Formats: sequence, C-alpha cells, structure tokens
Amino acid sequence: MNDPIHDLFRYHTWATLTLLDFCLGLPDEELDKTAPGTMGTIRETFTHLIASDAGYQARMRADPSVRIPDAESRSLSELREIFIEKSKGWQAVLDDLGSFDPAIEAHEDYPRIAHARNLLLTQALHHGNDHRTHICGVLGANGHEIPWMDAWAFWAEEQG
Amino acid sequence: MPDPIREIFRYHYWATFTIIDHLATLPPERLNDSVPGTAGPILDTLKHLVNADRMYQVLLQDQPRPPRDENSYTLQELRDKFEAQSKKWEEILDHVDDFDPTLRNGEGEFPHARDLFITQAIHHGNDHRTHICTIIGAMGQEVPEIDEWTFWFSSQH
Repeated sequence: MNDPIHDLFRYHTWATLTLLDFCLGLPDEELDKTAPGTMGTIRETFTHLIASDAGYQARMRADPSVRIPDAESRSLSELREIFIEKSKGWQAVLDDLGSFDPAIEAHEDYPRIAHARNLLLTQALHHGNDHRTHICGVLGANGHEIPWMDAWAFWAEEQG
Repeated sequence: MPDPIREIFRYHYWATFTIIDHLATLPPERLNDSVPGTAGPILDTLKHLVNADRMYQVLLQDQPRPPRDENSYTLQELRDKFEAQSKKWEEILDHVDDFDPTLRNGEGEFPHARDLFITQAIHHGNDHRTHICTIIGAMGQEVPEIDEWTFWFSSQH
C-alpha cells in the first residue's frame, strides 16, 4: 500500500481536474456566475485555487519560480495545463518528503514559521477541497448538475 | 517531524469542533437554515458529517456498516460523538499500517481500501464544513476562520 498522503494528493488532483473539465463544458458565461456564501465566480475561484496551490508548493520547495505569474490573466484551459504540471511536482515532493523542512518567512499577518511542511500539506488539501465545494455550490445554486467527485468516485475510476 | 497524516486528521477534528462551537453561538432556529447548492439544513449536515465519519472508521477497521441512524441530536450531542470519534481516529492512526480493509458494495469486493477510507473521511469533513460555512455566509453572519493557518497558530505547533 502507498502512504495515504500520496492518495490524498492524487485525489486532490483528480477532483480538481474533474470539476474543471465539467465547468469547461459549460457555456462560457456560466463561469462568471456566483452564489451567496461562496468566494466569487467559478472562474475567479478556480484561478485562486490553482494559483494558491502553486504558491504552497513554492513555499515547500523554497522556490518562488514554482508560483504562477499573472495567474489572473490566464484562461482556465491554460491554468488546467499548468495545474497538471504542478501536480507532478507535488508527487515528486511526496516521494522525497523527508528532505523537505521549509520555513515560511514572517508576514504582516503572522510571524516566521519554522518546520512548516505539514502546515503546507494540510493547507493545500483543505484549500483545494474548500474551493471545489464553493464551485459546486455555485453550480447547484444556478441549477446545474454537480459532478460526482468524492473519494468513492475517484476509487471507482481508478479501479476501472 | 510528525507524520503529515496525523496533522491532517488533527486539523479535521479542530475545524469540526470550531464549526460546532461557532454554531452554538447562533440562535437555535438558524440551525435549520439552508441555501441552494449545499447539502441541506445546518444541523442535518452536521449530523451527516459526524455519522459518516464514524462509518469510515468502521469500514477502515473492516467491520460491518452500522445501521442507518434515524435519531435526532443536539449540537452538544454531536460534539460529544465527534469527540469520541476523534479519539478513535488517534488510536487508528497509531496502528494505521495494521489495517488492510476490503470495500464491500453492490458491485463486489475491493481489497486494500484503507487509503480510500482515509481520503474520503478527510474530503467528506472538508466538503460539509464548507457547506455549513456557505450557509452561514449566505445568512449574512460572520464565518469562522477554519483554515490550516488558523489551526497552526491556535494549537501551539
């Protein structure tokens, strides 16, 4: 058996792409819909999800070049391709997890954080889940079908 | 450094308790609120979150599925149930490599399902906490901070 952390990240990638592909199949104007209590439009939420995900990985690797420059100006199709590449980067991190011991420099909202590896892993997973659910909320509130994308669906697809 | 799975589960408990404690400050009638695109009223969603979490523990231990729970619970009762479950998760994680459950459903039997149950437990908690926060936000109420950053700073890592 794999370490469960690998499956959690593979699920994170699969669920994000499943939802993104579903949304890319909708009329373009639907991507600018939102709903009360969520974080914005579908387009804005995906952009934030994918850009932040790259940001967490950049902090893990202490490599700012992993971030996505000008994410807000990119199309969702472009961000989809970038996300696939970044997801390979996460798996490479997980394959060699013991060698990562990142620190996060102090920010106006928080002090310097040493030994932040588990913080970044947990936040990346939570953040993806949270915003995927926001997008599903927008879909449902606007009368759209919501794709089946829990871990059961992931497992079923993997089992073929 | 501790195992990241341990951190992920401790975040899962903390975020769920934080939501429950926030809900306890709202007028009780608000717990019946819902909005389109979520999973139903707040209290029903929370009961589903807690009961499903228990079911994932049972399945991970390769035990039979518990019967459907038709009971109603107060917030405090759900908190107490989840408190017991969080302790159970800690016991399970202490010996996680000893578990190798089989998923049994209408389509057959699927061995080596441990990581499925772990992944679903984490996803499911996150998903329904966000549903509850969406309802709270749509009601115009303050939404509690339940991300990992807040957990990290509140738990003296």
